[in-house]
Amino acid sequence: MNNKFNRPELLAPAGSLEKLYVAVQYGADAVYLSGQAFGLRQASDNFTLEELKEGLAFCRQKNVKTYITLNSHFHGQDFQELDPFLALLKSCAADALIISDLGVLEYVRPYGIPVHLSTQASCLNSEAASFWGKMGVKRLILGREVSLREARNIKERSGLEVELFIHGSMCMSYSGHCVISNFTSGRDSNRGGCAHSCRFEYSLDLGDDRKGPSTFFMSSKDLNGLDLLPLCSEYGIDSLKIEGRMRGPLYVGTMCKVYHEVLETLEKGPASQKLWQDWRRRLEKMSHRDYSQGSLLKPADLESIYDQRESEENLYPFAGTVLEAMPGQHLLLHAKTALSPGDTVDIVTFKGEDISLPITQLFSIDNRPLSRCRPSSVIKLPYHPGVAASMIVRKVLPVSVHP
Amino acid sequence: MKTSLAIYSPQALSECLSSGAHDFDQLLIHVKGLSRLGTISLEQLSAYQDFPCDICLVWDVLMTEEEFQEKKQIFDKANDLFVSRLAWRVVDMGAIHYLSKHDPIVNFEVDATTGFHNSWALKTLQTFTGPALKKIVLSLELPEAELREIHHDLHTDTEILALGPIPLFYTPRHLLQRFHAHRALGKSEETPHSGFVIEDNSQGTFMWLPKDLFLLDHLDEIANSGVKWVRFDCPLAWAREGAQVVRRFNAGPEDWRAEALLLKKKYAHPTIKGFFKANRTDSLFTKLKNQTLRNKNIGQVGEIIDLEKGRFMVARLKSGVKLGDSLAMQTPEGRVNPLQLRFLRNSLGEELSEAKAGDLVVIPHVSGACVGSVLDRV
Repeated sequence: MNNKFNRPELLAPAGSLEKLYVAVQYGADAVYLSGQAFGLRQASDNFTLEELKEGLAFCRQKNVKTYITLNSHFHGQDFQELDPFLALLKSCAADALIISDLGVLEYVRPYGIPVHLSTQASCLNSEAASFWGKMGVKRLILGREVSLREARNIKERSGLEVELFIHGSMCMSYSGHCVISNFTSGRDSNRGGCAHSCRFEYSLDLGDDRKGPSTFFMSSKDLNGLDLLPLCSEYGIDSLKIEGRMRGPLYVGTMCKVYHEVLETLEKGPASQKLWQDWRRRLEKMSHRDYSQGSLLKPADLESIYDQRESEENLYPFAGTVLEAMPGQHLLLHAKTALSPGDTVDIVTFKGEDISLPITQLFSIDNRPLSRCRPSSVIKLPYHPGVAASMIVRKVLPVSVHP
Repeated sequence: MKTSLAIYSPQALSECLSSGAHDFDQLLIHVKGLSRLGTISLEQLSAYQDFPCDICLVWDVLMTEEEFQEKKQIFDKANDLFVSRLAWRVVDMGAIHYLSKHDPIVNFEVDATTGFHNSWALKTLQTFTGPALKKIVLSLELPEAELREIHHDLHTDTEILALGPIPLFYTPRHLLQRFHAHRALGKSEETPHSGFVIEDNSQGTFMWLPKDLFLLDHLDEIANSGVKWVRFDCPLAWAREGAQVVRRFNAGPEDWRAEALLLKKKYAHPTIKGFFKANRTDSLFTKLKNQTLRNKNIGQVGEIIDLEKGRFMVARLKSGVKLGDSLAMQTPEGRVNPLQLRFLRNSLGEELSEAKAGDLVVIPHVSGACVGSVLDRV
């Protein structure tokens, strides 16, 4: 046992009830999620009130913390529907609220639910941290511009818990300070309507005779802090957050599994180079915009710009979720993509090696052989040991498709 | 109504002090190193001993921990130079905290253009900062009705931008550096706007809307809403004409609006009134989202996850059912059809007399159903 390893919490996105189940089963210590309003991902499915109750009960049963996002910048009328929602969260024993707005922070105080300051508030220094501490905040989700070293100092100087983004998409702007969507698309980026204008292609007129390079100059690479986990531990970072409530179950499951595995391994002692390579390889498999370490070590620079059109290409597409595994009988799969005999899928197990499963036969739920299933259908495959309900499945594309 | 003028460069400062400063109640001096865009050094500023109006030094950069330590040194130096007549304008919550506990007391203003869109936030800020807080700069996203509502609970002076560019974006990263440029005009086919002004300087990269905000023809509504100050963030010549409109407005019921509209017509850039009359930027997703399925009272029995027309449906149950139960199937569009559980099977094809929450069951198909439809008790 390596006593020096201070294990941070692994905090995963739950953009829907389905993704909450995935996050928990693949190793998240905590999840963050939103109701139908008040969060910053209005395009995501989010949770109905009934789903919230179900999700929070499930997390409590699994000893997983739940943080509810109320991090939009509220206008006066937005408070109108807040009380019933807060009462529900209180009754469901949500572990914390994620808030960016000083008014909301003040408003929720009587409910006595702990508050985490959203990254949307761009808390970047210990003076700001002290302010928020005086306002009753328990944890700071620091701005993505803050380095690990600075995060340690902020924690030490403020005495508050600190949380950092460790993986996923990054805003190019200081969070909460970008209103491109508001003025150009009629969508309030700080009330969940961000149009991702920073991902657009722009032609730039640079003056003189230098006309128009077409460029994605405002688009940021994705954050990947995998290699910095030992340092996060050394600096006492309390929680590491995976971005991506809009991403699918495969992303959520893979990220949780890999990061959970790393933390669990490091808790026991240093990891071998082989393991590190394997973890990196698995993160590379997920669709992403090229990775960077953002500002975790030094201020993000030119290297952090993703000057490319975003690609829909995905070499390991999400193929579905295992609904049932009946030993000796069948695997019931909720297929999200077309599958045929001859295809191979990877079952992403909750722990340990994934299972590669060539599809030899395919049946409908009423046992008719299928030559191909349509997306969003329930199908049966022959049983395979080690596969369990709720595991996620990805399709392995033929080698010729890989670059 | 009082006026303030933003000044960014030594040239603009010199021009203003030699010919136009009397037209304004306050000069907002953007200090190099502390301001996002200012190039006026403390040395240049200290050459001026007398100012014909109030001055406020702008410290509007956002700062990480290490940057904050550097900026504090510039602040201390500036504060020593102008201790008697000085106010500061800050954005970063760290700077607000630092100034609010500064000894001796420093007067300051808070630029609350992001994240303070409601009375709760502004009142809390006002209470925390106490008497040293002299003014709050309000967001461009607040329409007139919200401005009025906010002022019910606010005793601190407030200011809004009346004429000038609308800032959209601020990053510490240097996005034009690889083009060896500091300024550019941006255009994207994915937005109807073109000519976004982009600037990359030592503090990062900034972008503005191609159209400037112009609210001088709404001065009466601004005043009625409770706002006490309007800001000019444009070249001196335009700002002086704007200040003239404000003076005319302050003087009485003369036709100040005609003068404002004349200025609007001849102003150097296209203008908009932004969100001053209405802000509906929160409504899109409410419209796009399926409100039928968002209703908390529907779908209590289960959800259809697959079906074969005329044969069966596969349902994931949220509560128990029994063979023969009468249910209602509701499509995402809200259409409801009755459904009787004439059969109830599991995935092995076994007939069941009942099933419980969490089970997957095969049930009769009902006309009009689709994947995503939900089941309820009748």
